[in-house]
Amino acid sequence: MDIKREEILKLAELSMLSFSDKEIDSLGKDFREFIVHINEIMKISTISDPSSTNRVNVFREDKVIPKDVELILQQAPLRTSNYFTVPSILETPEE
Amino acid sequence: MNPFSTIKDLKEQIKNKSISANEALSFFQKRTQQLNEKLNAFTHIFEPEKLSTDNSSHFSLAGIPGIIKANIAVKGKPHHAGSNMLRNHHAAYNATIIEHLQEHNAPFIGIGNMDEFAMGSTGEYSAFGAAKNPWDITRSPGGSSSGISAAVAAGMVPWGIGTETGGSVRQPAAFCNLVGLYPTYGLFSRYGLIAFGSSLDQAGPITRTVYDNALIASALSGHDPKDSTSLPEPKKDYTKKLDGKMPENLTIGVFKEALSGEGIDPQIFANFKENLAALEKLGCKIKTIEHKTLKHGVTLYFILSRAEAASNLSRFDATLYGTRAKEYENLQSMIIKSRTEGFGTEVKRRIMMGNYVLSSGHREFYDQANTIRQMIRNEFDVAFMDVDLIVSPTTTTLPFKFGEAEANPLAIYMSDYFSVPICIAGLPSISIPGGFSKEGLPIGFQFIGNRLCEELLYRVAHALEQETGHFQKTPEKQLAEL
Repeated sequence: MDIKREEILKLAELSMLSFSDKEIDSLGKDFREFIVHINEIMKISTISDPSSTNRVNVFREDKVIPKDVELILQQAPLRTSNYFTVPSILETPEE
Repeated sequence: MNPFSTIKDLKEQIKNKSISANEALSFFQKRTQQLNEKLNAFTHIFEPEKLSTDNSSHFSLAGIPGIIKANIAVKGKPHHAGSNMLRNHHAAYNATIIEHLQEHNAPFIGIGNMDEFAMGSTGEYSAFGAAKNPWDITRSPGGSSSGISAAVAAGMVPWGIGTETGGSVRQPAAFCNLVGLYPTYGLFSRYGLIAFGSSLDQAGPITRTVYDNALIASALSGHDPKDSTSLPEPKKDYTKKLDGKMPENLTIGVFKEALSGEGIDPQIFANFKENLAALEKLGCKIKTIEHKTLKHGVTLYFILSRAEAASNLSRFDATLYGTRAKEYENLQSMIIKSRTEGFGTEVKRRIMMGNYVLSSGHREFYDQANTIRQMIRNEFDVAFMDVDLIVSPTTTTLPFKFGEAEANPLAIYMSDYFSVPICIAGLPSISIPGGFSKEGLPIGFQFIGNRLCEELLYRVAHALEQETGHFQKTPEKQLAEL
């Protein structure tokens, strides 16, 4: 099992990160070491244990709790009055 | 005033009026101001809010200040997690454990330095520069709770709150001659902690003594409906049974690996055997245990923690909070540029590996890791049928020299050999001062308990601590030479 450069680029896209060529090379080295570890784990023989999949969801009531909205908005990288400002997602169709 | 006073001593002095709560507080504030330039333990120092001088209740911490790790939310205070991504971020609310501490009049005098998003073992991955070990400033105070252990060891504060995903409280405690607890998973609320590996993350107190640690743990405990993994456990007073006596008829388990000494620094191994002998002297029966999957702990941690980190860190997109890149063309490039500029190398590396494990076609890696996780848990369950507690060295290495992490990352990961399997199993574990190397560097000794056995863990750790007395040694001389 090895990792190709294209695969690293695809993972970067999924991770919403960009890397220089030098960084990609260095990541390739890290990945190869990581894969050695993963192979070790894959070699261990396991018996399927039903308790390991016995997970439950914990729900709570979806109640509105008043919060200090101003404190939250103060953390916005960019705001317009009481809104968070981000670049537009939909492009304006040309006339 | 003695800067290395314990919380217990300080409470006594405040109670018998030899000092006032205000005097104690300003003493530690002044010392913090003086020493921080040298040690970089705090990234931010501030005036505590809601000051109370009422120290009458058993749990009250009035006048006895603490340091809070930068990934724990303290309303209105910096909440940067050691990252440029959150460099100017302030918490809009309090973590539940912070509310608990405030109920006990705890003053916070600053925010503790840490590896970025708690990913690191030396503190060197902090965007705010590395904190230094007061015992030897050319060495790391451990990580990722680096600033917490450095501050408490230097007598800047008597206590602090760290977080641990795979050793990040116990290892810094071990490197600085302090006491650190990783509680049973779910004992302390995670609400208000910046998530790294959610199935492993827990907060934990770092203190000078076991008694002080139990006192802070009592304050932190209690069910929290805001955290779906919080256990429905009532609050407990963990100091109640700390009489310094070793419980009778105790059987202590020792991992076979810990007894072989393989992969353990020779000085740590020798020290470990001394502590075992001390336990025997106190009447404990020692029993060797074989834990076959223990050796897979570090690798398993690699997979699980990176997968969870990749998911958790996807929320940092610089839309609602965080540092936004200055130039971008559209929403997507804003997110990519902000993340690329905001995260450090190690964090990016872990996100990439986590997404590798989670990406389509590789699902079997994560599933296999979870199955082995259950095997590790099951083996501990079996072990605890025969023994009351298990002991091991906290780390397999002495405090790292700065630069070692980049030069030999594998050695750093292997140092957590005995600590990460405990987090994987969600078991409580406490590291206490075990003694010193010939160079005078602290060595940790850890106890591991069964789920929710914190009370026994504290009792036994307290009895050994009182017997060996290593906690009394402080880096006073080293600090005077700075």
